[in-house]
Amino acid sequence: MSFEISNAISFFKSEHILIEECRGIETIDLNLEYILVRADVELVAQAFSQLKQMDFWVHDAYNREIELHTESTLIFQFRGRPWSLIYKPYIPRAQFYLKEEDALRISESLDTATIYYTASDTCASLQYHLYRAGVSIEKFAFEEEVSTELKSQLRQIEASEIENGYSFAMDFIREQDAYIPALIVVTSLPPDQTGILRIGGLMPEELARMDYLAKR
Amino acid sequence: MPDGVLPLVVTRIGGGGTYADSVFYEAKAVRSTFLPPSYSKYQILGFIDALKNSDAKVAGEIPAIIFMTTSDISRISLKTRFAATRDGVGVWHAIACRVIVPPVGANNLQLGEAIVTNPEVYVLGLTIPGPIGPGSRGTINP
Repeated sequence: MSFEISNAISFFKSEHILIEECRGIETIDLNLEYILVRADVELVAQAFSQLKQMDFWVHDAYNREIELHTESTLIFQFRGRPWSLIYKPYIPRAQFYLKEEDALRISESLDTATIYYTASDTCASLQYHLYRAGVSIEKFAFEEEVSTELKSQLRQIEASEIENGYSFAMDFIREQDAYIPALIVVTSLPPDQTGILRIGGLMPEELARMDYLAKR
Repeated sequence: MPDGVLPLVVTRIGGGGTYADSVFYEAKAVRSTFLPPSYSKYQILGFIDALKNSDAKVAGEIPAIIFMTTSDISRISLKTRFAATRDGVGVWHAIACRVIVPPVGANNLQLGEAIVTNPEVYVLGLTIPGPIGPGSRGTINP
């Protein structure tokens, strides 16, 4: 029986805003992790599959039936947006996770900008790291009411001058012309099953492309 | 966006009911805070506001939010409890704790019993709250 992936992952965005106009961080109310890459899906999927030795690649997979594997990754780009996103759906017993180093390696290999982004509503923390051509440009780490750290080659600002870490990060993502979407994990995906790759609330016309990568 | 949303079940002599989306669960593993209304860009206040307009509240019942936290949060902010009481919302708190003798094969952590932190909202509403939340009694490591 085919698993309904759209019941497991949902996409949420503000109403009345077209996807092409979305910038910044959609919400801080979720636990999320992405690598953003300023390149098209094809190049990003190629670089990521080489980096992680992934041997199963479904091109243009949205709305198509796919085999789910434990080590799965979605690479997607919204219509009219310059960044592609790397996202690991929640699958029990998965062995690898996205890391800052992955963002560094992809930035290096594609000679482009990447952003490693992670935020946890549960831990009230947020972190991003911008790389350009394999060089660290700005790193920000924030834990609400505990700590704020910033290392930047872009600007002269002390972490102690940052009044609100969430707003600071939102402004930064917006300034990069990037968008952190809200993907809500309702339940885990079952490995070794098939399913139509669809995300609840995400219209096919909002995507430029979504690829599925996995290690078998 | 709370981490969990459940219906509120009310049992009453000769009546009662089930009210959709009227109990929120929120997990927090944070330090140096008691979760005031302003926490996480006013996320907590947003939850109370949403519950104020929930099906249970509209029907005159008492919706609730249950904070499931690590032991760094030893109590819930007075401001949060005050705002919730003002809006007729119950605030409960459950702390992750150690299971003294875990079942074979299980790990040794569990969620402790949820305790109501603003009982006055139930007293004023002439309601006796039943056990709520997934936790049971346990021990917090020092």
